[in-house]
Amino acid sequence: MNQQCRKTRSLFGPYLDGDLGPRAIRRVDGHLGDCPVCRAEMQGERQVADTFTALPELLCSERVDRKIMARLAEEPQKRGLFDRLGQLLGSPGWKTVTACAAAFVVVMLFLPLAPESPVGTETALNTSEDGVISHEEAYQARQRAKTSLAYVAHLIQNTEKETVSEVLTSKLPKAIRNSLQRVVPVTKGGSDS
Amino acid sequence: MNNNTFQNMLQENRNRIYSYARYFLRNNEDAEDVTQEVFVRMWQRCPEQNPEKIPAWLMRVTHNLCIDVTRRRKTSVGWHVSADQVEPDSLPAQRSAGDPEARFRLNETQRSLLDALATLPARTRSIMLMHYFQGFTYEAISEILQVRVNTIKVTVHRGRKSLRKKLAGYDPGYVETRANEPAVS
Repeated sequence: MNQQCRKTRSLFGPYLDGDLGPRAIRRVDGHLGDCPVCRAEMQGERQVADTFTALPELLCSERVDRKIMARLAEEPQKRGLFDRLGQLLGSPGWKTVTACAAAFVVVMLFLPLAPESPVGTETALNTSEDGVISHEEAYQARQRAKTSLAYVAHLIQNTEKETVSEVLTSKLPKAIRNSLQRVVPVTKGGSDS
Repeated sequence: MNNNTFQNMLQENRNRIYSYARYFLRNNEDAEDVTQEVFVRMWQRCPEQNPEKIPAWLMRVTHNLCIDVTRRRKTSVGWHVSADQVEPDSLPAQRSAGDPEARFRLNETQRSLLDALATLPARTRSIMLMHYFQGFTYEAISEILQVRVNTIKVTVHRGRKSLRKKLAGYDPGYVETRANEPAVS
């Protein structure tokens, strides 16, 4: 295989794909006319391509259709449960509702145990070791509840910010967005104030 | 996706998907399983989008499932089942018309090609089938497989070259016969 053969064979791909210009095509054709080895190579590759293209499309058995339909018949329940739940929880309004529900659960876990102040309050709690919670522990629980509540409030605020930002940046028509941007500039990441 | 769209997509694409899986996996049961799974996933997950993009989406899912089956069952590489295993009722009736002898020759060539194809790496096999059998452009395959267009071109070129050599191996007179043919005009 000489230099010309190598050069021509490197063009076989684009030649078969029809990517060559007229001059390059003439050059390849000229070499193929002179060189039986390259001609055989080219015809072999062309035959591979032609055989592939002529492969028949096979008929899928009807039992596959029946199996598909049988499986789809079971699908609505699955889709109904998970998709609807996912869609509900994924919508901006429900994010807030979910955060509120979480906050409520956290507060309800801690508040019943907590007195108003650590000392000087008469409650049913005592300091005995019979499993009843002490005044000090109850006070700490209340403090933890307050901290958790503040954290949840922070989460809700962030969720609201994101929702508002999402609506302002993507869900409104461009003209309205531009007007809003002029009146109340929305910066990336929001402002701290 | 509503029921009518799904039914249309199923009717239009099921033979295409099945054929790809059948040629790729060379096992009827696996190909049917893949076809079934592809359409169930289409019903579950295919986003409501431009219908023109659905064939590419289906092809991507089919390709991924075929690769999974190949890994799981090891049915492809080294699994030399001849094309005789294509069930007669899988072959479309309209293609059975014509000269029986010519059809036999064509099937012989195709059989050799499929045997040779089974020895190639899975990625090359799928790209060759997508390009030549399914008629996807290099750009479309590049999008389906998330690979650069040039990589696809090089893979097709090498695959074709490799198949040509393997076909010559199956038929020792192949190259010589061709070499003695008259020049391309």
